[in-house]
Amino acid sequence: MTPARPTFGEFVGAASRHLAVAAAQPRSVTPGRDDVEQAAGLARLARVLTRYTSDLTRTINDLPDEHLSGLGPWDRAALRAHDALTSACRALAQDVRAARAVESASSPAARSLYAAARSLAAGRDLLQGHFTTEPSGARLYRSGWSPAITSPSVSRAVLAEVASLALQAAAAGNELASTAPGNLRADSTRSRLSIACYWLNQPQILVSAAERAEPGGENGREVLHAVPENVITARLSPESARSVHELCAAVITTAERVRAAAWDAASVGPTSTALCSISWYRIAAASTVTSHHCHLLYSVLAERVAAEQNGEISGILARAASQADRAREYWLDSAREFRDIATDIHNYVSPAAAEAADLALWTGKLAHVDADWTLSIGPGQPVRPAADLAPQIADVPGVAAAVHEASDALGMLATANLEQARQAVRGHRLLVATRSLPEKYDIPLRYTEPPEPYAASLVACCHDTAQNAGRLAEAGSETAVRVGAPSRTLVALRAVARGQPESQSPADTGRGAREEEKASGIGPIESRLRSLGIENARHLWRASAIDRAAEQVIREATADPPCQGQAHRAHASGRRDQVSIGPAAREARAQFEQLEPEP
Amino acid sequence: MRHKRLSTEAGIRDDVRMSDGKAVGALDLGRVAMNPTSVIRQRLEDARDLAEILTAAYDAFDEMLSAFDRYENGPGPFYAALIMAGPAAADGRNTIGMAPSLPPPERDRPQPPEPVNEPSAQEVADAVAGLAALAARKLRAAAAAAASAADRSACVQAAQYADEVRGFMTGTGP
Repeated sequence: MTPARPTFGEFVGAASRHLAVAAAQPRSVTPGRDDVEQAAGLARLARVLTRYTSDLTRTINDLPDEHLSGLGPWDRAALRAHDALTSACRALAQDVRAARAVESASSPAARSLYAAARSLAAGRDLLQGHFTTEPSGARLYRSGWSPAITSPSVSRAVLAEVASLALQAAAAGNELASTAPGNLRADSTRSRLSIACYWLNQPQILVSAAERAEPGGENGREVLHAVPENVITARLSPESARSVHELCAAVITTAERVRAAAWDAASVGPTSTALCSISWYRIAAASTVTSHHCHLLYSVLAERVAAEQNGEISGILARAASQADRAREYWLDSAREFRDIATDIHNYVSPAAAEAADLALWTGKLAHVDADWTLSIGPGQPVRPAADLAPQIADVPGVAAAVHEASDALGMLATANLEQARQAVRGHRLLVATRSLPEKYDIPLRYTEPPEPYAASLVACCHDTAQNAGRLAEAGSETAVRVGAPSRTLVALRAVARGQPESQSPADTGRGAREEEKASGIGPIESRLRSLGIENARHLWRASAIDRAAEQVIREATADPPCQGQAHRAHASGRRDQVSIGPAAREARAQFEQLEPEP
Repeated sequence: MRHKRLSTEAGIRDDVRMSDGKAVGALDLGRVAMNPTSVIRQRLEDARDLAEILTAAYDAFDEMLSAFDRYENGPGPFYAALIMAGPAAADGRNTIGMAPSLPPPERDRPQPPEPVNEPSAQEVADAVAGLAALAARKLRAAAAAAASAADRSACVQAAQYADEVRGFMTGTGP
């Protein structure tokens, strides 16, 4: 099986342990040299911590001074913590220069400080691996974890970790600074250490004050520690798992691969060569099968839990099974829609489609008795009984976690299909075979752009499927929480990512996003920038200004009586296309109407 | 119960048999006289030139999709392979749709008959497997004789999609 990916929590934990070791080391063995080495180690550590606070204050630092008064307690704490850590670095600047000469430290305390700094640097690299920076400086999301990492809850958790580690570092530095005076050089080092330790103590004080002023963000630390390295795990061979435990692990690994592929698929633009109707069809077909398997697995788990006289949790699992069955029906409808439509790119199987098929295979192996079950096997195969799926009641959470991960991945696939269908409509990439059209369409071409109802129906169907797949993912979340499944972190991740306007993935540009815009007071342009992961304050202001200007134009335009009357008459008669508008507006409206199917 | 494999050595006429050895598909005309799959299969068998083969193969892929649809709308048990084979059939159809020698549709051509009964999963799988095997064979033969590279490419690719459909129907697929 594929080894688990390292997580941020492992690096922070390692750093904390190294700092504890540094603080527990005996005082200087070789006065003079040890002092310099340990101060240099502390300087290295402080510099890495400063990079974390620099990341947290990247956007705030671009704000002009008059806007700083409007910052919340956590943003203020981040700014001041950054200043404090910068001061600590300045106090130890001379020791950083000296450190180049003593790279291979001999003092055990210094080695521990260096090790802590390396762990933290690796942890920061892990977090940064979820973003990419464009030549323009815009920071873009690269994975489904990116919105969570930039969420307020996780940002708070990062600051709290930095403050806690800085406090530990200060404790280690204080040990050194309090050693008996020796030579003049050592006294000078101790003096700088004392100053640095004072500044290293400050972030914790600031974080405590921010916590008192604005408590909350409970899930942030859990999600932060769970952030994995942004690499794709290896694809599993079908023979690599046979036991239920192995099959659950295979489902979880494949679900991770599906999510990564779906994230990429949802990020493509209207001119992308990755837009291919057959890939959508393959995703829909595989997801129909996976939904059926989720239905089978939740049903068996419900039966298993019912045998333990736990009616409440059994009911929750049974409801999840019903939702999986509903999702299957929607996926099947979606598949039928894709069957009759084509794109200018064909003969292309996207990574998301390939991964979706793998997920269908692994969930099928888990749901059926036969470990050699394949996607081409005949119907009526015996379903894995409860006694085999979860022999002990303690086995239920592990299986529930696998089904939850699969359900969550289906939600992302549905979003990817919806977003790609929207992009295809936007880019006029959809085609329909003229021989499949009714006779009234006399078109002397093999393929043509589909009549408007085709495209509208396609997007509406994708929208409904995404909604229902989302409901299945929510049902999976509920079961995971109630049975104490290890996939609870996924629930926290989704909760954290939902809790901020900029949490929208590139795919979430539909109704939900617009409703959140209204609620948060953020306009569509600014929201779009945020959805692209852009944090540059100047770009966001410009977007906000454009949004405000557009609002103003709309207010002025709708206040103009003739225009208002014209629109009203046209709308009332159900012939909105009678309103005199330009081609760009007409196209925009057409797209908007296609993207906004009525519920 | 795992459903049976096709014997590729046995050829198209003998390769699709029920578990009791009884032949099904186009050859069992007494039983399936009103079966749309059999009608299309017969047209594909009778097709001689490239245009006829492309037209019949296009309709064959379309009929595979219709057969899947009819089964999914019926009361039969969930059959993953039928759902998974759909995209390959659609890709095969769309690929032939791009072939330059595919003639324009005949609007007044008689439509295949509606099926008179609801076939079982095994019957659908057998009928579609037979149709896909025949389509692949005819398309490969057509590719060998096609003058245009675009026609050859379309025939070869569509034959591969027919193989993929057949793999799902016979248990030899992924």
